Amino acid sequence: MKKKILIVIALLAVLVLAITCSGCAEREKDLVVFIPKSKNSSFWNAVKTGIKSAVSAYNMDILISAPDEEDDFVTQNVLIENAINMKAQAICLSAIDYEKCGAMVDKAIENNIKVVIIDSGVQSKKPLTVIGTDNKTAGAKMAQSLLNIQGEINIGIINSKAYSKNLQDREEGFCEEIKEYSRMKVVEKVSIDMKSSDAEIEATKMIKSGKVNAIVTFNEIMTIGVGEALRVEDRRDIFCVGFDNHKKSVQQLEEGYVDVLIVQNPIAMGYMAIEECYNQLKNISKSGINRYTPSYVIDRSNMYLPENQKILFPIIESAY
Amino acid sequence: MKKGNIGEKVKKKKTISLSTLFTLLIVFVVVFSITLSSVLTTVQSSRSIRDTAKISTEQTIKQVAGNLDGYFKEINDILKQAKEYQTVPSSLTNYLKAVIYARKDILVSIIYDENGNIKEKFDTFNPITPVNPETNLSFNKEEFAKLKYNNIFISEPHVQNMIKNEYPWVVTFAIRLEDDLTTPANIVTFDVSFDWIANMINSIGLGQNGYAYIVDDDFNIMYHPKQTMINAGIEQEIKLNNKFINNTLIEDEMVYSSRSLYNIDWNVIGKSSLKGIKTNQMVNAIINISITTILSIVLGILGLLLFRKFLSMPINNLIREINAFEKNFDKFEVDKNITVEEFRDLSNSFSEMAFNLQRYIAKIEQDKNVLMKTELKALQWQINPHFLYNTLDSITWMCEHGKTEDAVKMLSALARLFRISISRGKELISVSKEVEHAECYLIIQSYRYKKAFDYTFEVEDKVKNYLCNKITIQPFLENALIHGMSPVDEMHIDIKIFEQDEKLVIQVIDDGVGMSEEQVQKLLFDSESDNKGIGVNNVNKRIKINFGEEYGVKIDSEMDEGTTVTIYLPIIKDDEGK
Repeated sequence: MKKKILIVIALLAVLVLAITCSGCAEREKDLVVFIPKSKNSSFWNAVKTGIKSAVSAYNMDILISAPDEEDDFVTQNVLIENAINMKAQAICLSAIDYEKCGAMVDKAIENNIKVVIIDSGVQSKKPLTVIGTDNKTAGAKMAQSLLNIQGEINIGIINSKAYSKNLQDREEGFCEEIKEYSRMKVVEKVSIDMKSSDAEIEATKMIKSGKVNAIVTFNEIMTIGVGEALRVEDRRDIFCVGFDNHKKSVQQLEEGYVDVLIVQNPIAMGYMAIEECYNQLKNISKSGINRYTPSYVIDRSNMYLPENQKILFPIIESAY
Repeated sequence: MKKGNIGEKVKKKKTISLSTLFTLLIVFVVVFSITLSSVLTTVQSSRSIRDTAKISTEQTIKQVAGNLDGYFKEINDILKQAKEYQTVPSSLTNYLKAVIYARKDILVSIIYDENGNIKEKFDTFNPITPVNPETNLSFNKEEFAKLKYNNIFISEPHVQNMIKNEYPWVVTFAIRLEDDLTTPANIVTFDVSFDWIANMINSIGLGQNGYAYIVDDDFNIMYHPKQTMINAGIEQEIKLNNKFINNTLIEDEMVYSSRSLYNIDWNVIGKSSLKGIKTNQMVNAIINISITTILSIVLGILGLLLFRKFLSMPINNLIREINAFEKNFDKFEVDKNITVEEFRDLSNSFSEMAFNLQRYIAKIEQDKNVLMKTELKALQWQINPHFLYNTLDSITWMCEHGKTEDAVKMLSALARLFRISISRGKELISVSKEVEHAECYLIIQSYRYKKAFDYTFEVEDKVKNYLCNKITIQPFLENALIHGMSPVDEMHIDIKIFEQDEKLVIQVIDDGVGMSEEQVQKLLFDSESDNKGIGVNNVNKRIKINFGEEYGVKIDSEMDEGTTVTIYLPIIKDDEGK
């Protein structure tokens, strides 16, 4: 008799515990760690805006940590490791180095953390979802924009030393497309550290060499540097195709130094990345299916059209 | 009847159904109540959530609209003030400078001529690069041409492209200042930073998936927190129609509330989602019901166990005892170990009954023994050797002395006596036969005692056919002859048989010497009789055992007066006979 009563009471206690625990567990918010390539570019600030908007919509917690330089993959690996140690539920990552960040990403996946890639991916064992611009297509669009130039097109390419997937893809897409046009030729290619000053130096060299009448580069930092070089040398005649819509680049576009900007939709990228984290955590979607955000070809003729205003000048959180 | 088995079966069935019924009842009642109340609560609360959502959305949007209205009015008023200063150009300039300096949200102020050429410009932080009227996004030639004097035009939000290195979003407020003959008409504009408005809209919380946005009267989006997503084609905003203006509606599980602004043809729309609330509620209700069901089952089981301990176990024990008693009632002893009060009373009654039953059975056994003994004795006496020898002796003497007539009479009486004594084994004989038996005895004894006594028989007619025990009267006659006779006088014996008070009464009345009380007692209760006769005691016992205590022998005697023996017997009519 006594035994039976004891068993019943024990069962009751277990039941109550289970209910309380499950209730508690549910109320915890999922933690997402966002690790972009750097802290300071307007591109990443725009991504941040999208991320913050999605995080409040999906009721999650967000932690943003980034290296200071866009080629510091060592720090980025440390940050990924930190995210693993703090037992985050998901990581949104834009990898600085395709190969060198791969191992840490694999480790995160082994620890049951969902990893969603923004823009620039890694070489990982398991397939990852990449959210970003279709970089190869963007590269192709850059090539096509060069058609505005008459005659022979001698192209100088400035790209990053670090193996960033997005930059590689853009260059690949560009180079593939060029093959279609016999008058387009890459005459010079330079790899630099990820600093706009370095870009400026190399661009200046290219300008002064006189070999090129078009300079092509593939991200915001390098575009700013190239544009600045062109302004300093006052060479509106050299056709410049760059990436992203930093205020300086837009100014340079307006002034005639930069001719074409490929503008992405970083806010959408950030928003969709968080959405994808949420879906993967709730098992609504599986890893490996990429989602593309559009890219736009902006030049002086269309930059102030109302629809392009919204893309070129997205409203980002300000000091208010 | 089978003992034990049936009892056990019945016992088990009873326990299960009672306890289980009890438990099931509790569980059912609780689960039903909780389910009903959960369902009702869910329905009611989801209704009230909808109402609350509707009201709170409406109130939030009202407030936002109020804030926006207030803001726009402020700017309008500041712009309108300009007309106070227009007559004196320098004072207008000073006013506009002051405004720019004081208001960080008014980024740029420009005075245009009719054609869009910039006459004067004011700004605080960045120098303005003048641009052509065609590329100047702040100069809307068409709209400005339509402007009436002292009226204000407010533009759509757009990028301000005149500030070096800055491309802020602004809304342009333009006023056409009054014309007078000397001064050409001027258009004074403010480019007001849209940041404040955008951030306010962004920060509006309307539940988990809710937000606010601004549209014009044609439902073109002026500002939307997910603008870039909409531009990228990733999301879309539903096209609403006129019925939503200044209204709060619930459609497709979404709450829409809209409010027009006064100062500008814009509407603020708030949108919040009710999706998932219903599911959430149902999930909660289901969780509630499940938890309560489980708990109530657990409690029910506890109750069942308690019930078992305090109710059905005592009943089982009692039944077990009854069974044990049934099997072996002689040696049964009651278990005094019962705790529940009501069951103790029941158990005590039972043990008392058991005890009484044992005693009763013991008594019956005893009586049976006595009866057997007495009947054996009576049986033995049916052929009483002693009496036989004496009578035969008498008959022999009579034959030897030639009194053949008397011998024949005695023989005949003897034969009749014994025949009736045996009566073919029957215990009950008719009264007339018993009378004959007594008479034969008296006849025989009268030869032997030679006129020492005489006798009469008075028998009611109706009792002659009643039945009675055989050899009832004779022992008393014997007794009277042995103890009652005086050596001197002649004794008279009366035998009366009649019906009285529904009893058969036999009286043997003699006027002999009588007996003392002591002798009477000895006679009635001493099982041995002197003369090796059957004994009065025997007769009494036989009557009482066979017929009950209310019948039997009563002896009244007075010394020297006589003895009256009254025998009470039940009325047994012939068809009942054994």
